[in-house]
Amino acid sequence: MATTALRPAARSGTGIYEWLTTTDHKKIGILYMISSFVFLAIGGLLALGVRAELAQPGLQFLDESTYNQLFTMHATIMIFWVIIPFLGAIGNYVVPLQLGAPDMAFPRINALSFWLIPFAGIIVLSGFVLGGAADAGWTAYPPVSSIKYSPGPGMNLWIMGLILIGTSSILGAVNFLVTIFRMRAPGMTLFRMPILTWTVLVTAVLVLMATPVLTSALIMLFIDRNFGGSFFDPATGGSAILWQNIFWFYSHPAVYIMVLPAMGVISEILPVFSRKPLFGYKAFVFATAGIGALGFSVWAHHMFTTGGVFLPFFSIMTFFIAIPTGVKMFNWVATMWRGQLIFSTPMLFAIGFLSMFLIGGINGVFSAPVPVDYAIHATYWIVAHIHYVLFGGSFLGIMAGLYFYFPKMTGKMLDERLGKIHFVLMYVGLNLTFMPMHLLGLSGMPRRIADYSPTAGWNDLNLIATIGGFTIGASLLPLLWNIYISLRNGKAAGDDPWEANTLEWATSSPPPAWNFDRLPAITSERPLFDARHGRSGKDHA
Amino acid sequence: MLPKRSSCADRGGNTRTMRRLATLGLLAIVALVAGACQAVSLRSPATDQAILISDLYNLVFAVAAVVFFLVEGLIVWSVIRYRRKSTDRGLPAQTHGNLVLEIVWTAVPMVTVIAIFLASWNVLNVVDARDESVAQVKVEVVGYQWAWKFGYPDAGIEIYGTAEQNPQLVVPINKVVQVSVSSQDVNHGFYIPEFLFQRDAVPGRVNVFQFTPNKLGVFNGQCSAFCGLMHHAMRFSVKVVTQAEYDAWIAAGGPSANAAGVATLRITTTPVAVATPAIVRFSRITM
Ligand SMILES: [Cu+2]
Repeated sequence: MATTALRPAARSGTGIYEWLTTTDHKKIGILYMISSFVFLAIGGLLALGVRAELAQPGLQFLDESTYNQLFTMHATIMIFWVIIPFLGAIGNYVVPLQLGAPDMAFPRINALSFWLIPFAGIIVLSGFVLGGAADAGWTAYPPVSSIKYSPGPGMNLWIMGLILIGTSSILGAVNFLVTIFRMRAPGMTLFRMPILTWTVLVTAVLVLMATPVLTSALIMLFIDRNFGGSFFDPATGGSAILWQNIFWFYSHPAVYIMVLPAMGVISEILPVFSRKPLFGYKAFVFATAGIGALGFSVWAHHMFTTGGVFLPFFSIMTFFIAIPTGVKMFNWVATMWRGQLIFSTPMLFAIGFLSMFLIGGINGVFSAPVPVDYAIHATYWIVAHIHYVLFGGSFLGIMAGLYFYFPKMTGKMLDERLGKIHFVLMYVGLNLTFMPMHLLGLSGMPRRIADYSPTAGWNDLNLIATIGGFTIGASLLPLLWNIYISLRNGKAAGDDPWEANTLEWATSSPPPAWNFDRLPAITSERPLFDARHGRSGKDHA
Repeated sequence: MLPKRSSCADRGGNTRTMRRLATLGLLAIVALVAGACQAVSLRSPATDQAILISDLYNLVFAVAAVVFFLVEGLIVWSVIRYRRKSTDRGLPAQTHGNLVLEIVWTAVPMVTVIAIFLASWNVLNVVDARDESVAQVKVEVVGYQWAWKFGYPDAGIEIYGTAEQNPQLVVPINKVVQVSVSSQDVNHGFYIPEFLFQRDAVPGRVNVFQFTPNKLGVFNGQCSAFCGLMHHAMRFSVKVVTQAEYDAWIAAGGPSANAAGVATLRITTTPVAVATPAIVRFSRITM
């Protein structure tokens, strides 16, 4: 294939200056990843602060003010500076390669998308040293987030940082969409695209439709706080519920923004390590699109208890969105069925994703029947739910992707033994942390409380959750050590260490700046499989 | 007893031990499941509405448990059964899909969730029923940073809590209690775990709900919507008493002065709510 004409004039330096000024999607992807790891350390320490305080009743380490800042910033950092950018890292690195493209459509905008992230992160975190970070919860419901009840600088900094990172997401989404629609290699039809690229496509549409809505809400809140607006202040004719509607119009799809690409990663890994194609490729694509579409019609299930919601619509839609997710679950299991499973670390994390995300899906359905939601809303059940989705789902998916793509990114294999230690520690730790939270929620422990009554019966479960939290923290040490030693003297990866299916494995590891010297024929969604087994691929039925 | 590698070989001698172990194992599993079922249910319901919610939760939980064990079982089975063996030659069958299967596993969940939705719909209509005419006791709840005000407009009683002195709402058993809940500053959540119920206290809104307590006793409640610095301290309790005790309590003008200073008490001469300027007025209930 004639790709030489597309070669960008990329420099091939590796100095600091080159990294700071790069427009190469692969280097930008790695920058995304490094930044995500730094913020993961920060968000993780914030969480450990929260868990340390909750280990026993009484206030041992923190006062209420600090506690409120910690849980607010933990969620903010983990959502906007860790999970989304981690997925951005994988998308940035992998999508152009999967399409057989030399780079993203707009390489400079891509660099801008990245560099907004650390700067926005510094802005939101600077609250900690400028008189108090945001402390109104990551949901920032007015009036608690209004200037009257949250007068410090933290809330303003939080709004500014979020607007900037939202801008980064929007720019990234446009870039992905144009890349996917305009930069596919000859033969790469839409229905031959790898599932990861499909999930990034749907995610980009969600970002494009939802994130500007969040931005407008943030601007309204900023005006309310600083220029005497009255959008959300009932005392001056505004509505406190209005914020919740706009906020969740973004933030519910945001959950899918954080999950769909992780599903994509899993859908790359499971077929490779089962040595079978993905079961029901087209059903999977339609389910992804279905989740994206339904994702915009369920936001108010976060607001059932406000008394200001048309209940039946949002209840039934919330039930319905479980269906495409369930379809995917069955597709993944059927992919493994009668395969030849190889339990390398990426596969372990992928199976970890399946078994944990299943829980996050099931415990979420409990919020669809409104009366049950009345009982569990805003309790630790919900905390358990979102962590099984975002940690058991998204984060395990990200880890699977890290182990899967590390050889491509660096040319070195990660150590399998350390990888397995990491997996076991993280898997045990996450269940120790979040499983007891179901029981805490059922027995009535509300979320976001700095302290609880010693006679409420919540002591033991909280202690277990704290032990689990520190286990998760410890599980990252073998990972970091693994990355360090593997970069120094890891086994050489070769082009295609996993016998994978998609184009990113058809070039060297790491790929040259222009990505491909030549491309294999693309006649199915598994061009490398076809080349390896000497078949002319057939489109899946 | 050490597990033996060749379990098939020594089948004869240990049958009785094995059977005993199996029985023990079975008992252990039953105990475990019973314990787990206890742990995974909601608090035991203390109102008529809560009983319905509890039943609905149990239904959802049963379906969830079936799905959980089915899918996790399939995953575990695949992991054990389909691991690549050294004897595996060539590729496994390259199955790309199966239309019938895919229709089945789309349609069955669809029917299931619609069924649960309908069940939940029935319960919701009872739980959310707000028939003013059947209300036998009317109370007003106002949340403020960081405590609650409970008002009995018909009796002219108002109870003000503080973060240190949690207020107590007193209601008679088996009577329809109507609560109007609002807030005078930020969002709060009026949540009583044993009622399996919460309703937000939102400034600028009056939310109305009814409940019928069916158990005597004191039930702890707590603010469930994050409301700032002392959110965790925003506790209260609901005391369910007999009608006679309730009447006496009302006649005595609410909490007695020596009740550990639980609340500030203000009785007005007229049975009209005090026009405390800071407190939201309930001149009209808008629903
Ligand atoms: Cu409150």
